Amino acid sequence: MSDCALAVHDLSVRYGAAATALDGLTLEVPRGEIVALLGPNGAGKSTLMRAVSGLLPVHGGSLTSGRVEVLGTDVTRLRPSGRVRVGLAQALEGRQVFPELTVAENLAAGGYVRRYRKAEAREVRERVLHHFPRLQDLMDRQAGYLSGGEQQMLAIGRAMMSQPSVLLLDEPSLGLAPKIVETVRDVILDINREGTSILLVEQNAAMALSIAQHGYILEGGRVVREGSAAELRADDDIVSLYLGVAPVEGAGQHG
Amino acid sequence: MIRKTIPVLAVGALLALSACGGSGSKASADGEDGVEMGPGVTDKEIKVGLLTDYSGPIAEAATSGSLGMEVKFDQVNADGGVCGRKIVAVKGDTKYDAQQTVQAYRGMAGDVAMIGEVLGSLSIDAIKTNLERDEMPAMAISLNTTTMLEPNVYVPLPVFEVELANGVSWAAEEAGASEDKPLKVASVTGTDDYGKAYASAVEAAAEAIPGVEVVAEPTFALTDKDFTAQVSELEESGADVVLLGTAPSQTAGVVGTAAQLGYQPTWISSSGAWFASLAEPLDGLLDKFYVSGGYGTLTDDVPGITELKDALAEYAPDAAPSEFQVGGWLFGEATVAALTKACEDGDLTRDGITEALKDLTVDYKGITPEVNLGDGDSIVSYSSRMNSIGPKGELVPMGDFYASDAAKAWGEANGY
Amino acid sequence: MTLFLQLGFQGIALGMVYALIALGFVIMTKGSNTFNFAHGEFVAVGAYVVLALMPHLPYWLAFLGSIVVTVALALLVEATLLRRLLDKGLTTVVLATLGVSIMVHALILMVWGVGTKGSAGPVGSGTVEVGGVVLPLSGIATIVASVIVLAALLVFFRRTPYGLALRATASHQEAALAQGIDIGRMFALSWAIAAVLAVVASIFLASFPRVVSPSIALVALAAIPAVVIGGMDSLIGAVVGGLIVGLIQVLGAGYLADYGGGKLHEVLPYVLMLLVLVVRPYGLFGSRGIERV
Ligand SMILES: Nc1ncnc2c1ncn2[C@@H]1O[C@H](COP(=O)(O)OP(=O)(O)O)[C@@H](O)[C@H]1O
Ligand SMILES: [Mg+2]
Repeated sequence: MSDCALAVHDLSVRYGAAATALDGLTLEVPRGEIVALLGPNGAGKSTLMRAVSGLLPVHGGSLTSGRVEVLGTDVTRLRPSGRVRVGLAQALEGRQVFPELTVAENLAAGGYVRRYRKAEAREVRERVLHHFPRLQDLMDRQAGYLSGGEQQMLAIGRAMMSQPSVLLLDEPSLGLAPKIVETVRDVILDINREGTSILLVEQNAAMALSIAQHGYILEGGRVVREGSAAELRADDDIVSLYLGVAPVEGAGQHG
Repeated sequence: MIRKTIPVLAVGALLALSACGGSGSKASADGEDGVEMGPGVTDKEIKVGLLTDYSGPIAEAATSGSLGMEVKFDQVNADGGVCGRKIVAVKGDTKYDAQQTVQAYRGMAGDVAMIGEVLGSLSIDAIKTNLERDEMPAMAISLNTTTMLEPNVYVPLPVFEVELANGVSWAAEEAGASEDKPLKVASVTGTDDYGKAYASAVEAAAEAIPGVEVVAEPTFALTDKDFTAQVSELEESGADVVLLGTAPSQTAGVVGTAAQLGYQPTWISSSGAWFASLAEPLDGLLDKFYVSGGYGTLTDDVPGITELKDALAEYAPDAAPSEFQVGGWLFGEATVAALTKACEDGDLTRDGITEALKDLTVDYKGITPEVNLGDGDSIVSYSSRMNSIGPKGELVPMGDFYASDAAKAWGEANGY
Repeated sequence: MTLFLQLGFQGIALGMVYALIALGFVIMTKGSNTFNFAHGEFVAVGAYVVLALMPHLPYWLAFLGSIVVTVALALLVEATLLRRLLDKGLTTVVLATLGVSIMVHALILMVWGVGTKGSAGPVGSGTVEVGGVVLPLSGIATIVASVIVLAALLVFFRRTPYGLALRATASHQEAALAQGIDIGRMFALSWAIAAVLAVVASIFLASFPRVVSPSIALVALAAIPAVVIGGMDSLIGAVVGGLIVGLIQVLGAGYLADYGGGKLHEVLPYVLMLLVLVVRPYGLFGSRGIERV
């Protein structure tokens, strides 16, 4: 178990009195790996992210069964702040930067739970910004005025400020130009290479599978298919049937 | 969302609610003695409603006032009551709250012959339409002409306007004012109806006294927290005497600001503008501060006060003495006088009591000179007495009650 | 000219008090997404507690004691009532604060009665004169203390992690949660700060020659135009709005007394508020909300 960065067992979620959004879902992210979570709109991908990071109550959702472990620690009962402290960080779907705050302040907010000293904070920020050279020049800009790509970089960078072991990324390619998607993909890969395990939610299956080691396909709140990225990539049906997204240029083996 | 919601909620919150509905009762019957009897009256008793604050914010003072009234009833009942009937106080707790007052009133309305006291303009406003519809005679403890002019509402003591007008007259005498030696007076009042009535009383009094002229009449909004502008206007006008138609917290604001700006006129307030607790913040600033008061205190040596003290000793031996008992006692005297006259006229219905209240003379036995209730919309007495302020904020009488020509001139001019 | 300066000084002093109260409104609105109608009663509680403690303790301890009591009251209301109602929608929460306001008011009346009490300010009735203008010490103290408090707030919001976390929460609650910012704690923090500001405002609102009476809570209503004029979500706006309202009231009482039955200076802040709502609904300094790309 302890070689799992993130383990989710038998997770069921419902929103208010509405139908079940997740139904007995089990999933693992092994340490040091990128795991892709794919599926059409409404499959329950974001719901899983929220269940893992503890944000369900914000959306009126609640767990009806299941357990979430981060680095072998059961975090099911922890508040979001507790989970971040254990080593979990999430970049929300749609980026969700703090628009009125500057880029520097957004980043500082990401490191809030670590209570860094001044020098420490600078050091961590340097390391994070290393992945996002573009942000260097925008430190005093209000985040609301950044471009979509820049905001996505900022959202990922902000999540990295707590130096997480496990990073949840919810559709980082959403609404970005292909060129930018490629940059985002490279950044994710870089971050992973430095040791952060990643659960990557994507509709852009080709992009996700091009960097992931493993993949799950979700539909109607259940895992309908699971396998190594190579297996899934090799299956034309999956790409066209479930995912229906054209592969990103240079990102996959399928032309 | 918040930006849109707040104005809406604010408006909603400001909309005061008031309930209506009531219980007039016209049924009447003749008693064994041939006296016609309305609601709240039997051969044995007459029920009188007391609407005051028994458990709310001013309960301590109000309960003392009520006690003064009750021991008056006890004293009368021990002497055989009013035409053989005992006066029974029906107490309604207003908690000094409009809604509670309405409830308390409705609870007793069908069951009492009259309202012996209703305390505070807030409570009077809350039930004034009910009083009118029920044709319920009532006496109000809110001493001003605005309350006095409400239908069915009697104010059996001198109003604040009288106190202010007499204050002007006193100041003119003290200063020896004449055409050759003019006295400049000013008033400070609120912008509401009460304030306007107070200012016009001061004006009329000044008009009636040779050598007295009104040189400034600054007003304040009831929400004002700074009185620099008003005080600057007073100082600029050179007023020697300033009459205060204020509430106590405004009294402190005006007098205190004046002291800071180095302006020290003679201050004369109505009894409603003074509260003993002001002695502390205004310490050292009260040498030339006088209160014109419409009735006496427990320290007075007059038959009325002696009677009150005896009754207290007899019927409420454990009650601590309080000046509020004096006011209550006077309302009790007025109630007893009205019921006695109604009974003598053979009519203890509400109409009969209303009729009795007209031109009723009440002898307060020296606590304040005799009053005449007139038609209910009349000034009952033009007498008041000047007081200085004692070390604990208490009123210290400076002479006798007197009714100034100036006050009478003001009353006549207004048809009171 | 002397009169103008005299009134101007008093207007600024009064305006600073409004600014402190308005700031409390804005901080709670931003920090916890509620408009707290009970804030005026917190101001009143602050004044009454200082007054109650003054005879027994040195002034600064009475002031601190009042801060403890008022902050505790604010936290109690926030934790027991508002946090539980949060998912019931803004209207429910705001109505609940109205209810709290009525309850606290009743409590004040029960404990202290409707009567007028003494002053509760840190300085007495002294004055200094500068070029014919009389500057009451209470006014000087009000302005100096307010400026210090404002500067401290600025440092808090700009330079401390808690200040940043509060601003992040105000900016985007879910994103703040995702960073591990405990937004429940942030709600409480914003209420606590507002309560501290309420106590500071209260001692100046009750400074000589003003006295403590239950109507002190109504002054919070006078701060509402200040909040709207400045902008619901702007700290600078609250300060500017407060100063505008204070100056209008005092200068208006001096120069507009002959018009509109002497009530003009009472009405003018509200007229200005409506004008701002029509012309610039987000207030002079309020943000329209930056678009999220
Ligand atoms: N706040 C919510 N309240 C009610 N239902 C929701 C809420 N959020 C998502 N859902 C429902 O849960 C299901 C999964 O949604 P989601 O997790 O957002 O899917 P995905 O991220 O895969 O597009 C959908 O049917 C969606 O309608
Ligand atoms: Mg989603």
